[in-house]
Amino acid sequence: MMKLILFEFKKMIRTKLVAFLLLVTVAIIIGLFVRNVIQQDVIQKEKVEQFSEYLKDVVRQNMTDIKVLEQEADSEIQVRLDKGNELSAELNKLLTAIEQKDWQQELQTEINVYNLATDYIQSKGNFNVSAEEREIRMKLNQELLNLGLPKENFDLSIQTSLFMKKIVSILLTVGGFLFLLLALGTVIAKEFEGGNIKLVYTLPISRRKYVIVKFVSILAVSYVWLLTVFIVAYLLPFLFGHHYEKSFTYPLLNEQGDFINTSTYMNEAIVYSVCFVTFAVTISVLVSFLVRNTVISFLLIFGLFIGGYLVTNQLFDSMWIPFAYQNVDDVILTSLHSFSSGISVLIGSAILLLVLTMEINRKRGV
Amino acid sequence: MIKLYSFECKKIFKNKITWVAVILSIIAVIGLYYLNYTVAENVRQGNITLAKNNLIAFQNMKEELELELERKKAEENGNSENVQALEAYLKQMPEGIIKRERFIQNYEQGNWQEIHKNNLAHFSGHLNPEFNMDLLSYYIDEQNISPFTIRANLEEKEWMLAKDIEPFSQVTHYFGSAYLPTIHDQFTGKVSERWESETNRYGTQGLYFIYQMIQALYIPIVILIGCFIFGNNISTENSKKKKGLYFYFVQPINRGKFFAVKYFSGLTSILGFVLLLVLVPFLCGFFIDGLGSLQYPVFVYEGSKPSSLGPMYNRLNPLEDPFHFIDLIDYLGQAFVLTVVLTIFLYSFYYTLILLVKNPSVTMIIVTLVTYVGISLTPTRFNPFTYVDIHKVLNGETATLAFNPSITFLNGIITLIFFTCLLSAIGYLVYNKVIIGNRGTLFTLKNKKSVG
Repeated sequence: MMKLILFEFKKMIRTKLVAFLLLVTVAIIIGLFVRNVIQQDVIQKEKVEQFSEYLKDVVRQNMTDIKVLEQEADSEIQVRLDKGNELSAELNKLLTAIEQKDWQQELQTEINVYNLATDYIQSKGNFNVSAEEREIRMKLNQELLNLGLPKENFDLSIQTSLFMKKIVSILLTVGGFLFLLLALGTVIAKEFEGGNIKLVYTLPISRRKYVIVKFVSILAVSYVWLLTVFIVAYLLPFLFGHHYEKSFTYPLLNEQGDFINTSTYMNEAIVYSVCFVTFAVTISVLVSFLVRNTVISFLLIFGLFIGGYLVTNQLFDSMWIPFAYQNVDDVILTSLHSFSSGISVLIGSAILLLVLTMEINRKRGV
Repeated sequence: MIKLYSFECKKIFKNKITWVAVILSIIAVIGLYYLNYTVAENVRQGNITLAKNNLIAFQNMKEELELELERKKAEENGNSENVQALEAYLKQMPEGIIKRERFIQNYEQGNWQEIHKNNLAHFSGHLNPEFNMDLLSYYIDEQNISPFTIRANLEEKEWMLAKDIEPFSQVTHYFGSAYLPTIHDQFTGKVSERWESETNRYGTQGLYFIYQMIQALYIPIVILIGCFIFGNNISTENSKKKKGLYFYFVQPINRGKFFAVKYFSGLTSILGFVLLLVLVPFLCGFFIDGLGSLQYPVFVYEGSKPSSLGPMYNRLNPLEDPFHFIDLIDYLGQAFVLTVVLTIFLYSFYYTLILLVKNPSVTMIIVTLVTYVGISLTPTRFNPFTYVDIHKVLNGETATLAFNPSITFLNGIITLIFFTCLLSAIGYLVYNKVIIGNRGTLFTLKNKKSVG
C-alpha cells in the first residue's frame, strides 16, 4: 500500500497542474510582499494623516471656544479649552515622533493622547475615537512598550510574523481552499471521465484501499502546498524584510480582549490549516467518488464551501459545523470556539466522511 | 452554418452533465434565497424584540422615577429644583411610551409610511439646512457619522416616504434609523464592525433580492461558473484522449465557420445560463414575498472635485460632494445591459485562454485570479475589469473613489465590447495557430508519408 501511495503521490506531484498551483501560490505571496515593501512609506503617511485629522478637529473646536469666551466668560468652555490645548500640544508631539520615526516616543505619546482625549470628551469635547477603541489602542501600545517592540501596520507589515499572519488571512480562507480544491480535488473525477478507473479496478487492490491511496496522495500534495505557503511567507520577510529576535512575540488582541503572541497564533494557524485541509480533501474525495464528473464535482464543492461559509457567518455559528473553521485567521482571533473542539470536529468529520466514501465506493460499479 | 450551430446547441442541451450543472446551480440559488430570507426574518424579529425590550425598560424606568419623585417630594417638600426637573421629565415619559408602542405596532403591521416618518424625524429633527455643522452631530459609539451619509440618508428617507416604499430588512431602532452606508464613513475598530452589521440590508422581494445579489458580486461569480460549464467545447474535443475535432476536420466544413459556431453556441448557452440564474432569485422573491417597489431609491455618487494641487491631494468632501437617487428599475435595466456585455467579455477571455491552456481547472484559476487582480488595481477607464463590479460602476462608487469621472456605464460598455472583439480575434488566431496548425501539420505529414 505504501508503494501505491508513493506512486500516486509521485504521479500527482509531477503533473503540470501541481507545478502551476505551487507557482501561482508563490507568485501571490511574492506579489503581496513586493506590494508591502513598496508601500512602507504609506504607513507613516497614513499615521500622519490620521492624527492630523484629530488635531484639526481639536484645533477647530479650540478656535470656536476662544471666540465664545471672548464674548462671554463660561467656566465649562474654559475647562474644555484648557483640555483642548493640552490635547493639541500632545497631538503635535505625537506627529513629531511619527515623523522622526521614534517609535518608543510615539507609543508613549499616543497613550498620553488617548488619556487626554478621555478628559477632553468628559469636558464635552469631540474626539473621533470611541472609548472602547481608545482602550484597545492604549492596551496594545502599553504591551508593545513592555515587550520593546515597535507598532506595526497589520496590513502592510514586512515583519516576519505579521507578514505570515497576513498570508494566513488571505490564503487560508474559503477562497484559498477553493483554489486548492479546484486544482487538486478534480483529479479523481478526471480518472472516471478518462476511463482510467476501469484499468485501476482490474488491479489486485480493494476499492477501500484505493480510496485511501487517492485520499492520502491528494492530502500529501495539499500539505506540500501548505508547507510552501508557510515557508515562502516566512522566508521573504526573514531575508528581505524586518526580522528581529522578538518577531514572534508581537501581541495580537483576540475577541476576549486578551493578548496572544504571534508565535501562539502561528502554531494554532498551522494546526488549524492542516486539520481543515484534511477535512476539505476528504470532502472533495467523497464528492469526486460520488459524482465522478469534474464540472459537477467542482460545482458541488464550491456550493458546499460557500454555503457553509454563508450559513456559519449569517445564520448560526455552531462549533459542530466544520465549515465554521475555514477562515483560519478569524477562527483564532475572533471565534469563541475552543482550539481543541475545533480540531476534534475537523478530524472527526474527516474520518466520518472518509469511511462514508469507502462505503459508497465499495458498493458502486464502475 | 445555421445547421451546424443548431447541432452544437443540441449537443450542449442533450448533455446530462449540462442539465445536472444547471439544476445544481438553481438549487444553490434557491438555497441562497432561503438563507437570505431566514436572516431577513431574524433581523425583523430582532428589531421587534429589541423595541419590546426597550419599551419594558422604559416603563420600568418610569416607575422607578415615580418612586424617586415621591421620595424626593417627601424629603424636600416638593420645592427643590431636582423635584421640578424630575416632574417635567416624567411628564414627557408617557409620550415616549406611546412612541415606542406605535413603533412596534407599525413595524409588525408593515406600516412603512409611519416608520419612514419616524426615520425622517430622526434626521431632520436636528438639521438646519443653512448650518452644515448640524450634520456633524450624529455619532455611533463616539465616532462621527459622516455628514455625507446623513445628507444621503435624509434624502433617501424623503424619497421613500414620498413614494411609499417598503424598505429592506435592516437593523432598525425606534429612536434611530435604518442607515444607508456610504464611502465617506471612516469608522475604526469595533465601531466599524457594528456599523457594517447594522447597515446590512436584506431584500426578500424579487427585485430587492436581485439588487442585493448584484451588490454581492453574484453576477461575475455566475458568469465564471457558466464559463466553466460551457466554455470548454473546443478544448474537451481536443484533449489527449478525446479527438472529436478530427471528426469535424474530415467534414466539408470551413474551419473559420467551425470556430464561430463553437464560440457562438457556447456563448448562447452561457448567456442563457446567466439570465436564468438572474431570473431564479427574482422568481424566488416574487413568489414568496412579492415584486418589491420599482421605484426603490438607488443611491448614486456624482463624484468629488479633484484637488487643484494634484491627484495626491484628492480628498472626498462630505459637506459638498453631490449625489442623487435613481429608480431601482432604471438601475436594473443598466445592470442587465452591463451583465450581457460582461458575460460576453469574460466568456471570450476564458475561451481564448482555454485554447492555450487546455485544462478547465487551470483556466478557471487563471481567469478568476486575473479578474480579482484586475478589480484590485487602480480603476481606469480602459481596464475592462474595472467594470466587473457592476454595482460600484452603476452607483458611481468606483468613479468617485478613483476621482475618475470617465468610469461610466457607457464607457464600460464600449471598453468591454472593444476587449471582447480583441480577445475573440486573439482566440481565433490561437485556434488557427495551435489547434488547426497542429492538425494541419499532422495531416500533411501523414499524407506525405502515404504518398511516399
